[in-house]
Amino acid sequence: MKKILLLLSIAGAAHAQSAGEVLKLLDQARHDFNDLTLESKMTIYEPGAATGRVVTFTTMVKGDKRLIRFTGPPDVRGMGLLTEGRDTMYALLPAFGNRIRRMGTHAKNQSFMGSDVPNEDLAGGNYADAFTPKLVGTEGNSWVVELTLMPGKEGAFPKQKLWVDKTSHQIVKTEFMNDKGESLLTMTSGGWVKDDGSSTHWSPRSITYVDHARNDHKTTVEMASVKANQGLSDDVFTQRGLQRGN
Amino acid sequence: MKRILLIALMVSTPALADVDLKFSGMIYSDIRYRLAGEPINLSYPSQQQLLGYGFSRNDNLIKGRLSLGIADRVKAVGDVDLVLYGFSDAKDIDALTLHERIDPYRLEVHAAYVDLYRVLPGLDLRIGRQTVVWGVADQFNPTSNLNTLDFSDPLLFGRALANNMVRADYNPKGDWIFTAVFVPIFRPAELPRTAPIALNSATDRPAPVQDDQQRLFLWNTALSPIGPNTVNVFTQQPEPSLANAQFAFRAGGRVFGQDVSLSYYHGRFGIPSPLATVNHLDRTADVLVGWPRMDVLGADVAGSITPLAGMGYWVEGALVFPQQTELSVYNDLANTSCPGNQTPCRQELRFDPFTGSPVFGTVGPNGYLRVPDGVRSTVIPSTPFLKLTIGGDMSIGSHVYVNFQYIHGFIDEFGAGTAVHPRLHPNDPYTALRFDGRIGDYIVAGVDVHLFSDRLLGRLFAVAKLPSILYDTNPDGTSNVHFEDYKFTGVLFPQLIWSVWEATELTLGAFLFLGGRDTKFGDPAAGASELFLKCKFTY
Repeated sequence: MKKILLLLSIAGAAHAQSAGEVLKLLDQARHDFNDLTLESKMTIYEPGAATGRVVTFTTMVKGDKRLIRFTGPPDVRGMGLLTEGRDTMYALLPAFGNRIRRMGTHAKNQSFMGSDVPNEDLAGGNYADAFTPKLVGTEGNSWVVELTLMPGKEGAFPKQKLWVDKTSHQIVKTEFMNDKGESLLTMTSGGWVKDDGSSTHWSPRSITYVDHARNDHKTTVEMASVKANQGLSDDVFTQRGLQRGN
Repeated sequence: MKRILLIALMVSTPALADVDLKFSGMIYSDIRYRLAGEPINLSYPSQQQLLGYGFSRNDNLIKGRLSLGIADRVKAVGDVDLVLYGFSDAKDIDALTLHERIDPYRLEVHAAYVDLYRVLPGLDLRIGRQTVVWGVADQFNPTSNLNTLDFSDPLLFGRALANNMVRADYNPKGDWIFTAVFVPIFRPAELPRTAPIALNSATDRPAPVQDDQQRLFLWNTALSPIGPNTVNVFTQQPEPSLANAQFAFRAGGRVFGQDVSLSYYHGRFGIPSPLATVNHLDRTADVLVGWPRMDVLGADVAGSITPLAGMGYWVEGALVFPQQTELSVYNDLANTSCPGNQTPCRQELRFDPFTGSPVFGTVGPNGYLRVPDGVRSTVIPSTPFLKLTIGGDMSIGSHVYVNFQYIHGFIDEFGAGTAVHPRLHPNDPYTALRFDGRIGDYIVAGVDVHLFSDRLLGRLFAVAKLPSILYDTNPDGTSNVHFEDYKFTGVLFPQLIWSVWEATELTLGAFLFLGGRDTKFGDPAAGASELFLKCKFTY
């Protein structure tokens, strides 16, 4: 009996038909860890350039909280960002006596360090809490879901189109669109592997953002390491934790 | 025995993996050219004269910052700037043989502290030289009083001056933090190099006393043939006693998604006020200045307004309870005028509280010979006053950022009552004087435009003074409400910041003081307009 139930649930996951079910699987998979620590290197390329500007940072995630600490280049080293959900963001400003500044959610409209990574992509939170989904079909091993921002919710991209992998239940491609449905930015990810410390959570080893509004300006993010379930304390994800770590 | 020692060593020495050592810093050049300023001779370094038109700054800076952390329990931080003035101080032949006179420098220590984390559950301590910046507003923080300000660079709008403190932060849960800070020794604010202009002349502006009649009497005396030609200013620094120590408390957290805090500060204001004047027979005057005490109750709230496209907002207010500061005025008397041959003696001037007429007493070598039957002039009344900053910020698209603040009480303003300004025409004794509210109202607004993936930043900030509302109290207790005699004054601060390559920045800009000589930002004591070129490399 148990085997039948197990088979049924796996079959159900692979063949989720409703957009809501896909979004639920996606949100569950994105948060399928107790905590996550990523070491990342972001390279920002001007259109046509072979080399770009490099920014390195460490990201720690627990629940809907995310702490990003910049480790390079020197002019941004020590800066930090702490986000809680979609609506609360703090910045640590070493140049101002390690002051912590509450940021308005409008900051999500600004580019992240001049890159093509949307700030809201760095924020936590569930897609299901902010977007209304519509399943438009499948493509290869992915479900294709269109999202529309719910009334009253803040976001730089009112429409998004996601390609959700049926195996990992993670996003392998996103088109970020304006309210007219015009594609402004495309994200593609690759090199998906299971994280150290987790048997169920997958993370990509590279993500590429291409900004169509800026002549296909490109940013790549490479994950040097991803470790899950390291026992990060809740203390880390507080304003004191943000200050202590600098 | 050797084995025991070896084991003891291994136990006491932290493993290398637990030690986090970071060394960073900056190399920086700052060249400025002064425009249309009033010339002022500086005593040091002597080559650095502030001309009407000329190079006013030629700094080179080497910053070193060392941070050593051990096992997430202890961290020690040192942050030192070596600043080379770029001007010589070669006043004589002997100076030409000394490197430190050919190439003067100074050290600025911004941090030298030890952090102790989780000394008790939730309790962190920081002991040493540090800055503690409270408040939620941008740069104009009326609740942040633990560190006095460094006004020497107007481009920084008052940078906190590090001081030796003991700070305890208790974080019982989430983002609720209770902070207590003790500062044993008061450090005065560093004034701009043009500040002595405000006190070095007795005839350029009247004494900052609050009573109109008293002010007029003192002003007329200063302008008279017996008024002083030379003014020397001395300071009365607070003694290093427990009574002169400062302390503060703050409780902060989040309520309904908004960041809130309450604070209390007991200490002194960083900019000195006149306490006494002694007019000598040779027409020199010695002025004594000191730092007024104050208690400050502060509150702030900050958050985001979702229906307004996520606009950030903040409100920060401080109710200041100042110590009353009075001005004692003495005139030296000729020995032949001293009663009972008690020499030397001087006359003390006070004022009749009812008629406003001057009354005189006499002070001998051993104390009062006759106490004047009147009151001293009030410079800072004990009336509580409010300082407030309300502001917000917004992004327009992904490249434009706008910041705006309303400020009641600028960073250098203190005390209820009337502010005095210098004469519009310094050589015309008949120029009418201007007065306005001591706590002024301002709009500060700025816009950042990010271009070329943040490689180029165009920034424009502006400050404009608003008309102040003044209240005059009539003898019958009624009040007149009127706008001050308003004249526009403000600051314009454009910059172009180019991130040439990683960790390298070139900045070209200007800092323009706008307004007549008899206005807040046109006052020569505030400084003069400058063009600047800066180059910074961060490592």
